[in-house]
Amino acid sequence: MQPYGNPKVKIKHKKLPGRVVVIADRCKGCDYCIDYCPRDVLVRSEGFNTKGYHPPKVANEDACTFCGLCERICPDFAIYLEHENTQRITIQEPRRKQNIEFFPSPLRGEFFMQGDIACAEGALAAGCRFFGAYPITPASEIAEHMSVVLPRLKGVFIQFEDEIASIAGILGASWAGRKSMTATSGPGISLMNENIGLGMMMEVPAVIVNVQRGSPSTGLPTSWGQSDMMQARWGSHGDYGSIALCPKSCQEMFDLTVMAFNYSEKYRLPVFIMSDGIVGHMTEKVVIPPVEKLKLVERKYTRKTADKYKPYEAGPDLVPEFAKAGDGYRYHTTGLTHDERGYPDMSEEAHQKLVNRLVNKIKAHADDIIILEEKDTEKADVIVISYGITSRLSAPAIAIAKKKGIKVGSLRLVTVWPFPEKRIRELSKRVSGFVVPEMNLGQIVLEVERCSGKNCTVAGIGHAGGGIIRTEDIVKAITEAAHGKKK
Amino acid sequence: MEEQRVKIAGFGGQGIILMAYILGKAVSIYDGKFSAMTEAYGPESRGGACSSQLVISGTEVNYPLVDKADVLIALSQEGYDTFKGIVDEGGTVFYETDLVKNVRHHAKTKVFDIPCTRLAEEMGKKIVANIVMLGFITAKAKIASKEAMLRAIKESVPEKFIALNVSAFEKGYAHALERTAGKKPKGVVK
Repeated sequence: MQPYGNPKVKIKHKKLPGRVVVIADRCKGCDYCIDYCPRDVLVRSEGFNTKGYHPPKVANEDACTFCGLCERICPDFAIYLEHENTQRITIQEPRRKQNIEFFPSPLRGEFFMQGDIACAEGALAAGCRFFGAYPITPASEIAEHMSVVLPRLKGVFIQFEDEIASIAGILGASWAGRKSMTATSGPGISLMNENIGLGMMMEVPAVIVNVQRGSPSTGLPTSWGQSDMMQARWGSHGDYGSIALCPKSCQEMFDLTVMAFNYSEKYRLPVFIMSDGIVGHMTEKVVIPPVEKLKLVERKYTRKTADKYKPYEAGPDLVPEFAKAGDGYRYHTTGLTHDERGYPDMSEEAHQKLVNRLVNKIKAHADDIIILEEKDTEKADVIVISYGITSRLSAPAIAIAKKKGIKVGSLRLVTVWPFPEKRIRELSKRVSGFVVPEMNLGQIVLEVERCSGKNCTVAGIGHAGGGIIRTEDIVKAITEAAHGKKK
Repeated sequence: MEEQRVKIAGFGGQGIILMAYILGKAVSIYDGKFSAMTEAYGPESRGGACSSQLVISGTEVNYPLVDKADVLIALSQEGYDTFKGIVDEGGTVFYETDLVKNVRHHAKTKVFDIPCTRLAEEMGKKIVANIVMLGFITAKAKIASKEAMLRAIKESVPEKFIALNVSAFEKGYAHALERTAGKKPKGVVK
């Protein structure tokens, strides 16, 4: 390729300050460097490399201006400029008084705060110092708040070009040792799903906030819904264990975000916060405790030496130890089925072992992860099972039903995934019916049906979102369940 | 204390959400009660219909939405028309004199009209109309104490506009007291 510009201008040649080096075995023969070299310094060599390609060679060294285009264009990092007298300069940074990882959250005390902002503050308090997202109503306020506060805490905020890049970005940041988070709504989660699977496979801690809106597709951008619940469990392809928490108030947006970080660090996986448009855009009193009083779980870094460390070797708790990039441990990580060393292993045994562990590491710890909020369940005939904002929206109906003389209890799923199968099975043997109000057309009700079998009736009250479930409908369902009628 | 449900409706850009925010903050942070505020708006940044709602209670607020309002504050005809139906019979309606012309209400409903935009214009800043309204409401409806409201305003607006907002609040408050005394409000031609 000829250089652009006026050919009459003569370029003075200086002695090169170094040389062009080709790592022949990395080359896959694309010839980009040859094509793009403005001075035709490189040509195809005659010989083969180990992969069977013709790597470039320097034919016309005098013409080289050391512009470095070949180094930048090479997709395989097979060509670079070596400067003479290259010295590795280490710049010693002045010691900071406080470690950035534990830089305190700027806020503490009582605030009248929006749910989204409480979520962002929860992340900051938990030690999140990398946030990558693409703004989307009703989750934009999380990104907005992070963009203001994170730089002040020496953290990094990036507004990526889309949600696919956002999730990839936070996985990378987490791999480098930063607690990372992204926030989005239904359409964003749909884009993220592939890389969520990558996070599950590579076992990278991260927190994904989904402030749900009316779906499918663009749906109701400024309204609410709960229709992504199954997506948090089965969104990405394949089997994996998943954790999802459902906050019902602004205070819980804070508390559960902290908890989500703890779970993600402890069990090494992306954890979902399944909020919704009402909670995200609601403003309530939020009490932020001092950072010292928060219970934070830090990542389990390995203490093994580099030669003995296997990145995917798990102990009895099924969670492998972590070594972050830059710690001196060199290892491979991939979305392909891998062995304990992290290298691709296409055997059936390796796949069975890995995928089983990914599912079982959550199953085995389900009792630790599951949090339920129960009220009057012990003597109840009918139990209203709800999660997130629906638990508050169904409160008036429960009060009306109680006035009618029906023994109603309520069970709120703070943790929706893993599903509290054991407890629901237990309760189903005692009650005459479950009522499951939710702002989708029946997702979690399927799980309740599965767990209760034929022990009791299960009535789902669906609402597609954008409005609220009518109190009368819930009361009617409770009354029917109390009389043992099947809906 | 019984729950109080407040609905505020108007156009985007009038400070509808800020009003509910200040009211809620005063109640929950400085008056020691509980409140939950929710908002609804369209995709437009200015000019679209906008409403915010606030539930105030002595105990933790369970049901955060307003289906039946005790207090309706309307800053636009459209907002009034949309939400007049949800006001309880014994409720209270505050409306902007110049922007809400067509008012029909139940005989038991208390109704106040406040020329808050005009009062704000007299101060030279039309944008504080919402704070003038808040001053009036604080005097007329027992939602939040005056001290709490003033603290909440100081905490919620940018520093250089605190003085303006506080005087706007005082103006609305004084206007309400003048009304109580049966005087003709100063400087307002109706």
